Amino acid sequence: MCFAIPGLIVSIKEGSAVVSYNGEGRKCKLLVEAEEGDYVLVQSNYAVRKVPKGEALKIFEAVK
Amino acid sequence: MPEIYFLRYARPCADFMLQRGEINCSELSKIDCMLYEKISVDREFIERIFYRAILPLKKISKNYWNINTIKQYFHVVHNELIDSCSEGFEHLTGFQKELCRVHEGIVKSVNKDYYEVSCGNETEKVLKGWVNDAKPDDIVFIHYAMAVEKK
Repeated sequence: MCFAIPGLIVSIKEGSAVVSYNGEGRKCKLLVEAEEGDYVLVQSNYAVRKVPKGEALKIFEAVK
Repeated sequence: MPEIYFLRYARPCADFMLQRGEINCSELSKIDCMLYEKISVDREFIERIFYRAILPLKKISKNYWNINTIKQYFHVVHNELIDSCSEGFEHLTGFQKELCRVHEGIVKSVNKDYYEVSCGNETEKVLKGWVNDAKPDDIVFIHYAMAVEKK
């Protein structure tokens, strides 16, 4: 699972997170420190970068 | 195979094209089949989908379907285009530009699925991605938080 588009962390449990993409939840492991409500970039089932909210919103706007 | 080498770097861009409606899910699946399964590698299809990268590639060399030319594009020209906000990179945010730039990192430690690499003054975690055999002090090229090849 690779997504160059940020996803929103909706839950975290034992080092794994559920990340929402347009409402569809995908499970991934966390390579970065992040909390519920953070946006992350997911590559190969790992959240590899935390994306600042402002940046995530700009990216969503750009790909509309 | 130069097409696969090209796709290793170009693949993240396909997610944006899908979101913008420039490609469909079937085309994304075809890209992934070529990249991950090496099935039905279709040069014309790649040229049509990634036309933004092919244009500057053609400027580098007429014989652009070879590893050295593609390497020159992604290691040098691609970063220059990002920095000058031209040829398809106009709308990237600062965060995207940092991720999109191909940069070098020195491997500091090797973990199960990722490397800790030193990039200038910073240390970052990058997925092993296409590089499974790097050792401490090896230099890797990184794109979208993933190691793509060793130097």
